[in-house]
Amino acid sequence: MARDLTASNIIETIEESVARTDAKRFIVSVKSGKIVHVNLTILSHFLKTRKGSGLYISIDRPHKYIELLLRKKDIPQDRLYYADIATRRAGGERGGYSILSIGGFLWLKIMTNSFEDLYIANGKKPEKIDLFDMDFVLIDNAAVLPAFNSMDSIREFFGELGNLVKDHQRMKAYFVVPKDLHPKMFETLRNFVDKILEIPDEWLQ
Amino acid sequence: MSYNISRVESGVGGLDDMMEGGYPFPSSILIAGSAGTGKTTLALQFLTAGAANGERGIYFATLSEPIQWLLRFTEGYKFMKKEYFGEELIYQDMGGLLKKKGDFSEFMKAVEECITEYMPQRIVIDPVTVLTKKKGYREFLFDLSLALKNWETTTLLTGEVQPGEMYPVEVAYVVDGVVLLSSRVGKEGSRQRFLEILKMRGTKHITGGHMTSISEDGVQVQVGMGML
Repeated sequence: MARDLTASNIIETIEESVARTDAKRFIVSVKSGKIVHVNLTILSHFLKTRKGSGLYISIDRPHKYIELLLRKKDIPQDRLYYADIATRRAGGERGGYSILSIGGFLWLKIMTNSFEDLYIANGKKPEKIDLFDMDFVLIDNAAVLPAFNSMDSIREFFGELGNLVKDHQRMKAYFVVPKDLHPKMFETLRNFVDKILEIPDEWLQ
Repeated sequence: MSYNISRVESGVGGLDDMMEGGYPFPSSILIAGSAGTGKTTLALQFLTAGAANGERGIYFATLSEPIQWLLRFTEGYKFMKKEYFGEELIYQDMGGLLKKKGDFSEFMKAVEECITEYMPQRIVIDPVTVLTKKKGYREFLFDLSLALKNWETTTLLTGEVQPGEMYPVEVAYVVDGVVLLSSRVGKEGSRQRFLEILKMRGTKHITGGHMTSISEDGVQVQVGMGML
């Protein structure tokens, strides 16, 4: 099946690139409309192969979507934490979603081990997170940040995330972004990563 | 503009030229019109245009029409290929679920289950206006429209236009685009059909009603012809 080939190509590209370099921060460049698919592929693979934990930062869409997809594929999520920036319960029984402005506060909380904004699957709050046991941080999708943030605060966010990754030996960060959605944003992000991993369009039909 | 909006082909001759190359992706679009104006045909053209490129699409039928009836009535169209069904095109009968009492939670759950199973790029819900009598319709439409975009799909919702209304207002309010199909009796006494883009967010679109024809190639727009 073409879909299996796609997944193995993506995984091979990432694993080969990661193995060959000391780089810790990556852009995974994909075509628009395939972010969910690529995120799911990478997350499934990491959760099956990495011994430590992972952090999924959801900026573009509520984390419940990727949580549901992983559950559907029977991928255990007990070592995956969600920082859901795209979701905020609007109150009431019905709930609803809206975008929260992202500032330094979330990152301060992560770095000081105060995790009020983190979730594990099924909406539970983690009791304790060991950042030195964390293997990966996956970010979906930094290209939408300019819609509700200034470029200065975005640079600050990237800088803080970079520091977090540098301070923890095992941790690597992967920004999955569509290269063509916001070219200026993509160029900004380039300055904050060590390597760009291109996922060719033909793998993502 | 800082953001580049991706486009997906509509599969309808002339229509993409009216809206910068296609429907925005992701988005939810209302295809509104009275009976016989070509709503389902236009929706199927959208799904098959994707299928021809290897994209997956789901057709949610809300009227409990068995698939064989749909195929029988559409087999005259060149773009319809039976081999798409089961692979690129998934047919989901949602009629049974909608007959149940209660709110839309079961319907939403079934839609999401299906989307997680097949991960489509294109979706059709035909027709969405059959759901109006259920409780919480407006909230449901909002949730549905948002959820479908979060799943990275372009979705066409077809909507029946009732006598006295131009389009289903409640649906039009929550979607990103509205394409209106209409007809009128011309001077020679024959019925003429028209297509008009009323709304298409993030898109410079050509306005006005343009004459359409329905042939074995499906709905075709004659841009600039017989404008309303």
